[in-house]
Amino acid sequence: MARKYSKSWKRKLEAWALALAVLGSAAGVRYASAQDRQPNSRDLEVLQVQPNFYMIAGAGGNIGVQLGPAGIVLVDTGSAGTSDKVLAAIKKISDKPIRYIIDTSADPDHVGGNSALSRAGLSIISGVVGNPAFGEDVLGNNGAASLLAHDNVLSRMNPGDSAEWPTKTYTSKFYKMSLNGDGIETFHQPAAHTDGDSFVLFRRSNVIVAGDLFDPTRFPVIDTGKGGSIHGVIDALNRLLELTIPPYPQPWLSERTFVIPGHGPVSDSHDLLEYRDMVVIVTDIIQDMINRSMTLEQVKAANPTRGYNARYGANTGPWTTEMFVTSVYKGLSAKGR
Amino acid sequence: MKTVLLSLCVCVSGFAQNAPSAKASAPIDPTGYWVTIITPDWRERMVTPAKGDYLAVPITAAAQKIADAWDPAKDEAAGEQCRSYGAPAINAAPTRFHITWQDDNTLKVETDYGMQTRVFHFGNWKPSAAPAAWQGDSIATWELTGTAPAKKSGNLKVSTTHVRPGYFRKNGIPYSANVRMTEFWDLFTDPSGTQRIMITQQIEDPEYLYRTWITTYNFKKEPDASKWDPTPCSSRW
Amino acid sequence: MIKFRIFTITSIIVLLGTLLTSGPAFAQIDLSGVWGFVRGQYGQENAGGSDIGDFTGIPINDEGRAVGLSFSAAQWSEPERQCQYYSPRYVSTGPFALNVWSDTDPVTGRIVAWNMGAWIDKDIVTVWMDGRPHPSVNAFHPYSGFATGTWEGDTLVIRTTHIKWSVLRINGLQHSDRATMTQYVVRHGDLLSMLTYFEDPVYLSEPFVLSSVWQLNPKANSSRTSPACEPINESPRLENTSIVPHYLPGKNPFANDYARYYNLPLEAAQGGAQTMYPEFRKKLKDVYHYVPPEKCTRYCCDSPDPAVKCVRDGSGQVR
Repeated sequence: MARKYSKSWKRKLEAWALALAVLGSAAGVRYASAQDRQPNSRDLEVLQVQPNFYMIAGAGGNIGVQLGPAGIVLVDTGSAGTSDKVLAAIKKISDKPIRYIIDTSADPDHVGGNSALSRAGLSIISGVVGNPAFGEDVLGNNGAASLLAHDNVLSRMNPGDSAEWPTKTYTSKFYKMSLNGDGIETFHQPAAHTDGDSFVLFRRSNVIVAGDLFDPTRFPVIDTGKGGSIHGVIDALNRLLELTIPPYPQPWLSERTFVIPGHGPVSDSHDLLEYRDMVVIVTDIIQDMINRSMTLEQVKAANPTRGYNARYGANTGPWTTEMFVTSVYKGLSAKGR
Repeated sequence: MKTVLLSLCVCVSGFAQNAPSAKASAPIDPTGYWVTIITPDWRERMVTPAKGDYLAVPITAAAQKIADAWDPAKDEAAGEQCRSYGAPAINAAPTRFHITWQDDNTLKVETDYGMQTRVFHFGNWKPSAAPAAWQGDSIATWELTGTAPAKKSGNLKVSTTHVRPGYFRKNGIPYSANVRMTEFWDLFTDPSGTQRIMITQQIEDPEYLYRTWITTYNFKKEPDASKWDPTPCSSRW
Repeated sequence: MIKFRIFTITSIIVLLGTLLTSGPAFAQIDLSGVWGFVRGQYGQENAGGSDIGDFTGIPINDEGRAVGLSFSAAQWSEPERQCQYYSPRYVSTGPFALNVWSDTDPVTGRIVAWNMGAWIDKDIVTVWMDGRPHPSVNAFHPYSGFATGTWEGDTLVIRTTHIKWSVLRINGLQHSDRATMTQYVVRHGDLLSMLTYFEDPVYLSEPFVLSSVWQLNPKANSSRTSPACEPINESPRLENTSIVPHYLPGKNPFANDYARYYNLPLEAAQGGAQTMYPEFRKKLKDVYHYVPPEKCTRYCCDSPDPAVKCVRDGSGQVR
């Protein structure tokens, strides 16, 4: 009996095994979404924003990562000490070199990895031509990736650590370049979070990396010691709104400008609008109190941020609600505005 | 042949003797204390609405005529304070429920609001010839899904008729003696572990409703009777 | 041999009997179709919308109340707001139909997602049934939120996270982008009922629980996507400025309107968890001595009977 059935049973078994293998693997197929493609390094999150654009979160400030045939453009580099992890995370999404780094401010949680990440990269600037007095170290960053920032960032940086410094600064309203088939515009936003803020618009990718000009995890950080002001923050948010394209006229589609904030989730024009409105409302409330001749202490006691404390406020830490209110009060009370 | 017949008899008698009671076959446990959550139509449910407020009720012109003549003092004088506490109105009311098994095939629903009692009869219960009462006659069934007994899920279905005419709302929107109500009671456990009942209710009244009135109400389970607050019927409150 | 046959036949009869007395085999429920929202509740919300200052029955906290009272309807004229979708929370309040369809795996035929769309002003909600995890807190918040579903018996339990900031009520109450939602969907014949359990640690002191019902309507003409939308210049002063319409604290001139219309104390009108429970009536009666208005003068009915004449909106006109 065994001999009579063995061949055909074997064939049947093989056929079932193959069928099961195919079905089993098909059943494991998931509908992929852009957000699902998340190669991760431990403790860092890598989120895909557009087909060629990622955000790395968890290394300090958010890092924007643009990919392309020329290599990688980074916006910000996170905190010092996280660069190994950042590099490991980048390696999982691209094996191309880092070519350019753009800093949105001089904040340590945004530029702490400048040195390590630029050195891990490869300059896109070719050899020196013209005046031989300008060596490779000046223009080509000794072969490392270039670092762009507003000139005020350079002046705010630690004089002792030149490796962190930008290799290229700009003093005008913007700096433009084309890389990876994308038009990249770095805009200066004066007297906002600080006096050296930039945000970066990637035209073709349709992504804006905002730095701490837009930080939906807390009330706007206004570093008055470094030239920041509430008026500048509001101007910056309005400017970002102007440049952010909403998903209209077909809001059910995913096409829109994505905004990578300094901290917090990937956002769009709606998220930016809610934040802008909150900042303006709170500012209006404090302005009204100033108009009624209330002192700073009276304003604080009146809780002008009521309605937003739970979401954006903090009683402890590097930036508290009280610090924010004080900064706004002083900014609005200053003469000439 | 005798063996076959014997086997068949054993089968049949087995089915007859082993039919579980409603309590034993319940896919959900609605017993306990429950409080209504009043959000939609708040001013029509939490308090006595203004005369002439029929919002969300698909009334007929005949119903409007009666509602426009609503006089709570008259109802009090006639001893009709409970008109707005009948079965078609009670699920919407600002009430707590206390639900227990009166017996294995009868579920009892008491309310603190108006101190009413609804009785849900399972099985082949037949109504008596008694006059219609505020809570009418309710026949209940379990709508079961899953394979008994291990995996049973489902809901309670209640059909109510033979109701004494009353008011859908405290401000005199009437229902007639021909009103029929069908309810589906679903029970869920929310993310905090608290049980909730959702009642989907269909009411037909050929005289006073232009179309079937379909609504939902939700109740939250309470741990005990500490908030149970029996209050008698009132025509005004 | 005969005994064996008898035994076999008997066994079959017993087996069939057992099977017939069992419940039906468990199966997922088909939710597909167009379901019309049943107008039997949420009266004013589906008529002209909740009045400004009507926060009754909503467990808002102090912060939620502050934001609600600062709201100015002129905010809707901000160009950036005009085409915004409402939150998926708003599904439970209607008044639009649900168009539900499924996506199936082409190989296994299993349903991998249920889709719910498309109201005029809401995004298509895709409820993933394939066990995928929710994305991280840093992921984008789409208008639909991110939803996953599981079957618990015949109940579809939907969990939604990553919801954008939006209105809790059209009169200005908001919910934050930290909100999450759990919905329980059951079908009874041609009725689809949904219990919505909405949590917002920013603006709600306890969960906000609503229930709603739809009725299958094969004749309904409800598209899967919303219509296209283009903003217009409604208010020139809001174009390209940092003007944000709102009321300063204590300065909303309409804040007390709802309370005034219905003789309610502000403590009731301005909401809070206590206003959801029956024991609040004691306060209304014993502390505030509530008496309803003498008669209804606004939003009095919405009966489909053309013979019913009443005030159907806020105009005070009977029609």
